[in-house]
Amino acid sequence: MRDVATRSLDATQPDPTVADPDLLRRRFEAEALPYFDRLYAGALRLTRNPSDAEDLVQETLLRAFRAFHQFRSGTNIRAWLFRILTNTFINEYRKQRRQPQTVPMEQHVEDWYLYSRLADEGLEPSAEASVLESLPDEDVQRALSSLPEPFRIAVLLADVEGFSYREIAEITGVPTGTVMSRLHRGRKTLEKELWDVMRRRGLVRDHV
Amino acid sequence: MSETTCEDVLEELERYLDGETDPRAAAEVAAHLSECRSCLQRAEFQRRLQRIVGLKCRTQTPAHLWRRIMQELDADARGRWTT
Repeated sequence: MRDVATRSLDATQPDPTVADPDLLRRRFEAEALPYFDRLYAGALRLTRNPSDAEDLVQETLLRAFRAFHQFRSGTNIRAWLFRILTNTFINEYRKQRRQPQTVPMEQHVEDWYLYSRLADEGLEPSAEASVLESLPDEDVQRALSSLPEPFRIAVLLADVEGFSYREIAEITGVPTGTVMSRLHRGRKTLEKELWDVMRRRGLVRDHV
Repeated sequence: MSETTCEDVLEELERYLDGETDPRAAAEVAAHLSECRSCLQRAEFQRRLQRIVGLKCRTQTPAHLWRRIMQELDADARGRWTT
């Protein structure tokens, strides 16, 4: 364990809260804990089970707290937290967790459009999204959770968390081009999954 | 009439909706969407789809987890600064 008092004298880290555990703790609470719910939702999509998600969030926040003295106020704390979440998940949980089935990635998913399928059903454009809105949350969550991991992570970070391509590249440690292709394939596979859900629920006719 | 075709827009639409196109390409897509009803409807659908996925995938955190983590942070802080 490094000496807190020495670190506070470091000219590159003039933050006075470093030497004061109470202040550091309060700063962590004020800056990091507002993202608690989003981290949990993300963890649930990644681990696909509530008990692992709780452990993952706890581990993420503990790691973040321990490294918080190195974190500069005013930089992107949400991206920093999600990077810790994603890395912890990949390094710690992926190997040991129970693995529900993921959907196989199809070869030609790139040109598959839910919009076109729904249009073929004869739905008015305005009615198409309403059908989606009528789906239970659990169905959409399950569809997202069923995506293979790199695609699931990309779609989660972009569509649930609203991160930019660059932020996702930094969080996941891959080039922006890879982020874009994962996101595209992930979204298309998700559209296909949602289509299957709608068919199962009888919201669209079951013909191919 | 802009010279951007529907195929060009389809190609660029995902990046455009993500706010990731450069300003010039974004302006071209926007111009096309303002005059092509079918592309606009497609764009609106994709936008709403993304929004629906985002909204439906939020989850309420269990209250006991919050308490558990606060205790962990306290214990961690104590362990670090009192030893």
